[in-house]
Amino acid sequence: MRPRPRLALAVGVSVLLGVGATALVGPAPPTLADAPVTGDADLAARAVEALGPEGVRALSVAVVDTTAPPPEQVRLAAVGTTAGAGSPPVDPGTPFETGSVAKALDGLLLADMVDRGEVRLDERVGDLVPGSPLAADGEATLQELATHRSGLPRLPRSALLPALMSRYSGGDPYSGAPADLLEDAAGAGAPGGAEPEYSNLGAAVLGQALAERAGRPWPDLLAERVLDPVGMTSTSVATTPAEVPVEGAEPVRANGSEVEPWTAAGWAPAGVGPWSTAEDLARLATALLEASAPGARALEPVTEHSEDREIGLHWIVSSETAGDGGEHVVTWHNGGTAGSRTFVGLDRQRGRAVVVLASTDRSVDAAAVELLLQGATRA
Amino acid sequence: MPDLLVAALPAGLFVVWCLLPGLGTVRALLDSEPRRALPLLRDRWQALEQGATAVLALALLAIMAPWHLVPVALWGLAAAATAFVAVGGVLAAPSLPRLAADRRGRLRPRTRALSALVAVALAALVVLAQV
Repeated sequence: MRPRPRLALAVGVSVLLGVGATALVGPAPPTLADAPVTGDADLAARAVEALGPEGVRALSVAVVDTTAPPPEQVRLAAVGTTAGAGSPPVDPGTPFETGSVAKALDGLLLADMVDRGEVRLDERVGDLVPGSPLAADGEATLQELATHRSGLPRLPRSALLPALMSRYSGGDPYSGAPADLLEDAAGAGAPGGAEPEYSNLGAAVLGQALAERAGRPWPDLLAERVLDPVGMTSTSVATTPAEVPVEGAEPVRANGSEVEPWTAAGWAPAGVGPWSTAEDLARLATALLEASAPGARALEPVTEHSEDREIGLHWIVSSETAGDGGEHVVTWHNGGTAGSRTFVGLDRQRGRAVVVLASTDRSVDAAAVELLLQGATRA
Repeated sequence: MPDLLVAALPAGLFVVWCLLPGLGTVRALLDSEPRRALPLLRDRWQALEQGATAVLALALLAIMAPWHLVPVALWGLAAAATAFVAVGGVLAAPSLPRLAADRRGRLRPRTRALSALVAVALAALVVLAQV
């Protein structure tokens, strides 16, 4: 074949293949533009405006204002669908992966157990897990674990390669039972007395240590001490893929890549496996604002977390500036999995709270704080 | 890390693994005189390797680039460029030697075959992981 016709043939076939590939397997980033809305339409519109519609498939929001008249104290809204085109719309009762918001729940659990005299904040973690590899070397205290000062790394070495691979495959990088987790922690070392370093491993160890002291699995303990008393009946912990809520909002990256939800029994207290709803987290936020939730002392700062942040038992305390220039102290925790982002924040001084759950890997923090500082009540 | 900065890595890989080799494919199809400034498609093993790495680069681009910020049409152009490297390699193969010496005059059949097969395996792994 003569050269120029070969080149023309190659170009022609390539263009056809390129168009075909784009139509069949090209990226399909999600968007909330023109997506179905349930609940408070005004709140939904403000939430979408604050976050931006691109790269988000589902959004569920709650804004709490305890100073408002009772019918308006909790406003709920949801936008988008649970999965791809043709799937059901989300509503404020649709479960989302919580990610690290589960750490905040574990902080409440820790505080509750302290209040009951079952553990002490200055107790070394090794004493809660006798017989495990961590028993001998677990010098970090429970408070140090809850404030990321245990000296444990973010992840153990065994999890680093799976985490990197999952970035490309979208698969679940986490695995392991509670005993595996304690073994990983023993290998990494938990000396305590360290500078703040965010540690998923430390958070998971804390939850498993509490479960060990209480003599039951962490999901059961969390339900008994925190979820049930608050009425969070739609919140669950999936320790296997089969336990993932079928009605849940499926995680997805902002660029449209589908990803798997995360499950691993050992890592649940760090945020791997828990699912919750805007409704449930609004109940929790209301109870915390009214000081009726178990373990509410977890929100009180106990140490510095960074230059401009303090930390309670997992709950972070920082100062945010509203549009009118006023300073607001916000107590919060965010969360993220491969394809979900979450935020729960409280302005305790003003009796307000916000919950944002989204199917995306874009941060929702700024949007959530904006909604919190805007206020919840209608004019 | 800003999304656009994260996209720089797969975009850079795409330029190196697809666009630059594509120039060599054009030269091979034109059967033109070699010019030092442009890359050269030396043999069929290289054509196979370039096709596989171009597919790998396209797959990484699909996974990692912020398509909620960048027009999806750009991916279509990238897909066409990738197809060109692969299809062009197939069309150029009959006029290419099976194995050519490198610039130092060395023939390294095992190394070349292994390099090409590793590229094919990596591309297949990444693509299948997304299916």
